[in-house]
Amino acid sequence: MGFHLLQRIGSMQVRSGIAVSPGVVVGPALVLGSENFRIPNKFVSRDAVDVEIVRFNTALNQVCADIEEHEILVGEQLGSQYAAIFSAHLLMAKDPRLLTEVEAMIGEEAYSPEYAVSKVLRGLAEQMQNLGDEYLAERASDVFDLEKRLLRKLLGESREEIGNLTQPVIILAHDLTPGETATLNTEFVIGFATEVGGRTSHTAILAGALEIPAVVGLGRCLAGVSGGETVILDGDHGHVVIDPDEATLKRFRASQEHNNRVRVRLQSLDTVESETQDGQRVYIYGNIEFPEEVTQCINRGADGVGLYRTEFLYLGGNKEPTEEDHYEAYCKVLNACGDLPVVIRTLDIGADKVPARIRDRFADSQNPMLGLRSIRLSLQSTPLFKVQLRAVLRAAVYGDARIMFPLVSSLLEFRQAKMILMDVMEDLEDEGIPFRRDLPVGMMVEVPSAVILAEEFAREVDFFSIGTNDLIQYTLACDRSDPSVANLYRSGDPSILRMIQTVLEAGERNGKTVTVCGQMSSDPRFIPLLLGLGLRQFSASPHSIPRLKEVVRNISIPEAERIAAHACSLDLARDVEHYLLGELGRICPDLVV
Amino acid sequence: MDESVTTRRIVKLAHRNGLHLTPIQLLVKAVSDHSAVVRVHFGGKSANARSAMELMLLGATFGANLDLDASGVDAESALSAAEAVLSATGD
Repeated sequence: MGFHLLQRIGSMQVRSGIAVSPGVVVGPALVLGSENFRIPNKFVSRDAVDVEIVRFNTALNQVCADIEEHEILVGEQLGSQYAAIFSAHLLMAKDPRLLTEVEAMIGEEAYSPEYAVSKVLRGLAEQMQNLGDEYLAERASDVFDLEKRLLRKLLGESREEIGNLTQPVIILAHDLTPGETATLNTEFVIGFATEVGGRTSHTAILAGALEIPAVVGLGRCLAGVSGGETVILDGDHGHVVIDPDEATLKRFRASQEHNNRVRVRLQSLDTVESETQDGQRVYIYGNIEFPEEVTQCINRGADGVGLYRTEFLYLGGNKEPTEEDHYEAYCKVLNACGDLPVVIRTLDIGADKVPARIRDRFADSQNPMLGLRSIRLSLQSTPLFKVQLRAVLRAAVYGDARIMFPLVSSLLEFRQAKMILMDVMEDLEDEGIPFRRDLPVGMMVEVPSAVILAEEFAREVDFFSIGTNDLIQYTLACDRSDPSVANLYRSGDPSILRMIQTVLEAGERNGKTVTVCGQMSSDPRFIPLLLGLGLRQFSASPHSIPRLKEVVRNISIPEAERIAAHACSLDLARDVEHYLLGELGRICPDLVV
Repeated sequence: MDESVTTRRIVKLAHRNGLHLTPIQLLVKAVSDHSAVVRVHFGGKSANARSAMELMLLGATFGANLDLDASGVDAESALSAAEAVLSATGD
């Protein structure tokens, strides 16, 4: 019975979402509404309590007066039905519940009026949202509106905005637009989490590019959060802890300090080549999504770009990217890379990242992961595909561009894709447009059929790049975003190791290079194993490059081969991963937390 | 000197849309004209009849039996006013 408004105060709230940008940070929450208000202080001094209550009452009266004024104005201009919106607001503003609760929080606990208003109203809004009544859930927006009005009065001219930060904060928001994300001041914004969004949302991708730890898709959880609460954001595992208890806080702080120490130490590796103890040169490339990320690869001494995802071109804006859009982006990357190779992967839009424009092509797909995606989509939408190929071929004049087709599952698909590429070359030739004819053409190995036929594929491709994320998913028939089977998704599964081995051997026999570009090659644990299996080319997220270098420089090939041999003799994923973690701890103790 | 009375009655909510803003607005207004404290109980929850937000959180739907109590010198007339609002269809 009654209303448990304050139930969350002082109690830890743990939420899990999707980890989209790694790193662990601890800091005060900055909750962003659409107006991006920021609550400067959670508490006021005991002596100031009376003054603060008066300040709150003044603000509340002003808000009521404003609403009344609006009501009259709108009634005159638009009619009484619109004015009624404001009478609802007024009703809430004059609600005695708001007044007594906020006054109690200020008076008894010395909370700041801003914090108290936000806490009380958000608590009420949250309850409305949770009643399961659509109408009431919508009224919650009226409550948020009232909160904004009050905060605007309370904060007055001193209202702080995200562009105006002076101390580190962790941003919590329902959603951040890519524009907002892009303009985050990374000096002060140490992490962010959003209620909505997926792994491939723009915001997620931008977070990775900005290298701000981030978690998205938390689900609705911010209605009761006002800002100022301490937040732990674990961008490695996708957890967000709001108002953590001491023990939790201590644990996270320790791991944060450790990570920072290691990161600083590893910066010294930025200028050195990746070479094993016994002098074997290893190539470490970066995976990028945005042209701007090239800088991060180059700064860390990457040997090039091993995977340039081009989906962002399709996900932005509301129209299909033009050839010039593609061309400009590719030129930017190629110019920044100089002589270093850049592997451009053609459209790899999957079921999880379909823009609205082409969603109808996926209509009624019962099983989108096995449906029309990636190269299949490109082959069925030749005009769309040709636009991209023309741009790659033209841009290739400026650097060492290579082209790669994703999700190839049969030889016919690869041949068809290559044929279209030839068509495009002919067109360009006819039109007298300069392009590069001899650029290497490779494929992603991410479907088991491609592994089984690796030998046949190896005769036709110029290179292989193993996309472990999809390969694991398709081999083990498990969707890693489905929590009920996520435990089956294991990079260390013996079947996966054998598949990688098969591809490496086929590549070796046919003189074709093999790269691993999935998340597995960004994970230091797997580096000794992959080296031992014969892999010499890794493509990883830019931030993991220093750690990869560290492993490579601390191991010799015979040692890696010994580790690989032992790992391949184990028959459970769990044992493999456990063993590899132990070995990593021996080789690079710092990298194991 | 204290002529305060406590009184109670059950009223069936006649508003088709349930206890939404329109009846709440009328109820708050009706009760605010009185000095009595009026509470509305429903589904294990209770709300101050002057608090629009608490009333909304009752989540009372059409036909709900609302348990009203009031205390104060004008408790009886406050309840009558409240009942008049709640038992009207609002159409």
